[in-house]
Amino acid sequence: MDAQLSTHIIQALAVKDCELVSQCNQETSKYGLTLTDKEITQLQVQRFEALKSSGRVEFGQGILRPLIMKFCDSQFIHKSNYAETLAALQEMFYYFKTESGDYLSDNELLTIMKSIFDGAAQGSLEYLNSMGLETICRAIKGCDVDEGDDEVYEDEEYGEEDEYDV
Amino acid sequence: MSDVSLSTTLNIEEQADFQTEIFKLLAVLVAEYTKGKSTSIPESLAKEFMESILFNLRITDDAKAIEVMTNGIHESFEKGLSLTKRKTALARRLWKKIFLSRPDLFNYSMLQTLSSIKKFPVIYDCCFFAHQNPCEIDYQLCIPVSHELKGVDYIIEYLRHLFVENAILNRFDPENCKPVLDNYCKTWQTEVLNIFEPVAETAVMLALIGEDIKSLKIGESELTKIYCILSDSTQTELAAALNTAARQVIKTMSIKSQAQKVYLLRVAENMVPRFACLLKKQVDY
Repeated sequence: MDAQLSTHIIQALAVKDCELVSQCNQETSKYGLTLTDKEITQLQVQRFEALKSSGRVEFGQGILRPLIMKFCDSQFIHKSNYAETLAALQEMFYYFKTESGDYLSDNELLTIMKSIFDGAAQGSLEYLNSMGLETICRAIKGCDVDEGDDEVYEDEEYGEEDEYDV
Repeated sequence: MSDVSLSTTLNIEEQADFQTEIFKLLAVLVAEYTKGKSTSIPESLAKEFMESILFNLRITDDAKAIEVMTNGIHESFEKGLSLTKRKTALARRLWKKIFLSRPDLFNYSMLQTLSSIKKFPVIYDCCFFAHQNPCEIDYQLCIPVSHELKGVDYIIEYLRHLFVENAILNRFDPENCKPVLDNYCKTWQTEVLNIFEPVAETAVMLALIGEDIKSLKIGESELTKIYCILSDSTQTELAAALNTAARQVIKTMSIKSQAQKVYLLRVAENMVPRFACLLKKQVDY
């Protein structure tokens, strides 16, 4: 048996969170932002394209809902560019996730993206795209730790056998 | 991209069901791995998880696939995982046994390999990366382990082979083994080479000419005798002679272990093509 991943089965298993995304409209409407059913469907299609191009797979709900909830209060997102911006952010999210070696959790990555988008980028997706990865990598470097695995197993697991150490 | 495929007497519907169930299990594993902190993982990592699932399910043919489907994929996976854990514990016990009974013949690569395998029970991830072997195995066995074996199965088989080799080596006086190894390679203690094979082959050669096996002493006169006995042999006769000699070693050394007997007979078998080649060269010369 080989262990290839079947794209169509993965897509079938990935929860189509159209309904969940649709529920976000209630929350985001207070910022004047809503998505039509057509836009939600389109974003789902773009989700799978983004996953494919970034070499990732996703089995549960996608990142779209958390993305919306994180960015909906941004002063740089308007009704006119809402769906388009979400699509770009979604694509960037999966790209950053891969390029940063999955070091950050979804929430941490979204937080960094939002802070750049609202801060230095001033709503510019191009800026976020070009500078985002560098900032993320700097953030990761800052919290790099030496896990010291060797010491853990030498001391705890085989302590009683140290006399036989080779 | 192709699917998780069986080669197959299962019909298309059964195959599709099987694949879907496997992917559902993969989804569970991904959720466990990310601890809910990430909705997605790299495809390469998902493939590793898939390999690990297949390893733990131990699906070798369609019959096994049907059995797994009947018993339930999740239940079968848990059962397989439990077996993998028991095997990991066995690997640890085997390692200890081998380490404590290692021959009094220092070889750097053997000790390095044992040192690496010592960590196996701790660094081996039997759930997510059960098919992987995280150890650095430099020491070459006389009879290698099949690379089709994966994860803990490979380690156990490697340790079993090493145990047998060392058990046979321990039947000889290390002081008698050292000149044999010196003749084989002056730097045998620091080289990545097998220290069992030259000793076992010397014993078989001595048995062939009826000399003292335990002495492991082989010189010009012994080599001439071997040449005289074998020079006119066909390959079949050569194989038979070496097999008889290996049996003589087994008898002389009072070897009762079936594994050690089989191993020595295989050593003799491996000598056949090389001896045939050497004898041919002598004739040509």
